[in-house]
Amino acid sequence: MKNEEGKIEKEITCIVCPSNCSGSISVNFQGYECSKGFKFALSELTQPRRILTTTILTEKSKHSLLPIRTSKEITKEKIMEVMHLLKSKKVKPPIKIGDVIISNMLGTGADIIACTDLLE
Amino acid sequence: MKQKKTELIVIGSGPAGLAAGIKAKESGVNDVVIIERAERIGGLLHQCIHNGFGLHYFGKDLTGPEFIHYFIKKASDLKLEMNLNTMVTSLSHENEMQRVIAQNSQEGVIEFISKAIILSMGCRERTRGAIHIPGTRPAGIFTAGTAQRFINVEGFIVGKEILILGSGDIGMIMARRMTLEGAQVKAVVEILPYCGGLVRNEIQCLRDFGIPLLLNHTVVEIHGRNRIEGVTIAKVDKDFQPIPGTFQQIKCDTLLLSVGLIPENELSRMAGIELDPISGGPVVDESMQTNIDGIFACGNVVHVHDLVDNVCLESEIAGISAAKYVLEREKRIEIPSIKLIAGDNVRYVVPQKITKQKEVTLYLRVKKPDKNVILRVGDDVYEKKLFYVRPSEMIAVNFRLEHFMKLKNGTKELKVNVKNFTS
Repeated sequence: MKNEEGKIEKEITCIVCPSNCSGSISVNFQGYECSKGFKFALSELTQPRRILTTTILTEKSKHSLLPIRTSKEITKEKIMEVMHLLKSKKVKPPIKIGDVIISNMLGTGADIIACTDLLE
Repeated sequence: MKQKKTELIVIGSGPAGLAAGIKAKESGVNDVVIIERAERIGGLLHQCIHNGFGLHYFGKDLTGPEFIHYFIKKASDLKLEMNLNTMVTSLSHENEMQRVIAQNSQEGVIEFISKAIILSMGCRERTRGAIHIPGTRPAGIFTAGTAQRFINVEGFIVGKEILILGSGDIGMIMARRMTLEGAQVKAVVEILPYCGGLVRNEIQCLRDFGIPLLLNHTVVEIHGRNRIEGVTIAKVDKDFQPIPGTFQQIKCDTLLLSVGLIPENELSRMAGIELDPISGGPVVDESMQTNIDGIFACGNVVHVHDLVDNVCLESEIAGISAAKYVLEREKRIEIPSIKLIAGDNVRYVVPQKITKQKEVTLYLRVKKPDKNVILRVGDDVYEKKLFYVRPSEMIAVNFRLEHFMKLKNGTKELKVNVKNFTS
């Protein structure tokens, strides 16, 4: 049974006082079956991210909503802000699966993309 | 009534029906007819707007609509015949042909005759009535899937203060969905001592949003006259009986139920297909054929899956087998088949029997969670160590030719056991 094990080191400069000590944190990891595991764990420790999936209102369409997603994970803290902003937006056909609806949403680096076609 | 003669009928066009129908067409069946009761093909994946689909099948993390889009496009490119808004009301097997009666408001009642059928009707949700929750019968009580349809397709929020009974995946997914849309989810209440869905969902749907998961608890009463106003919950003992002194009231305007999925086999029963009472679906062999020649089944109608990827893999086997049946009219050889028996800590195994010595994936679920176990098939035939086993996570066993080699002559039964290392 694969069992990825090792150490991750992250350099973190302290900004509390002008000394600006450049130190680092060392984290032991174990128990992950593949290399994606420890990368995820590190991200959970430092800045947890999630994919956001939701729907957006449509106009001039037979369907009331279009399912959408972020093109990549965004930080957890930004999620509710993104949801709030999307509430006021509407899209109309024609849209194809994968089309970018909003690019670089709120500076997250992630685009909002269509999860299906909206042809009528 | 109208009569339509064809080669292969697929009942239900969710991922199972589409994967099976597409594979059958690719395997050489010219006339593949899909009968679907909804107004579009694709089944429930249209409303499953969350991601986590396709990790095995496509190697990508897709949302439900993205996953099914591939199959919908392929079905259309291959020109599978679609009968939408058409409900099958009868299924029977007569004179070596299959007979399906269906109806829609355009054509009325239609009789379909075909050589083979693939059953892919999926499953339905268990309701409040089925689990007898005492109390009044106000509005505001929905199965989680119904709420999902309202929110993600119709565009209506079903309530503002939500309580969810059952920690199955759909319940947890809806806990997150409702929170994202501005509702307040008070808690997810689970009668068992462990979570009913995938661990990944417990983390990303409940823990991420600080939604309490109350294990060993259930709803004992519903309050409210026209609209639900609240529930009484209680802790339960090992016999699932409410413990006096643990009752508490939770105010809510909506109750979502995620208390089990039941394979939809009304038609299977009608046709006289042998069902497995534990899996809830037809008894099938490694080619996904039921006890009736020419009738195959795949997907949630056979057993409720956790991952749509496995639904599609299983359904492709049904599609290939149905095509073989149609093209070669391969009669089932009555060779002594091997029965697969659910042993220690195993709830069920699908397929329930093997008739050919060829590679097959066995799917099973355990009864109770456990750690550090050995999964064994037969005495010395197959063995695998597993760190964790959970009822909510289906286990796949790849039974290969090398395992068949180990079978003693005349083996009639193979028991599948999951036992702790240390015992």
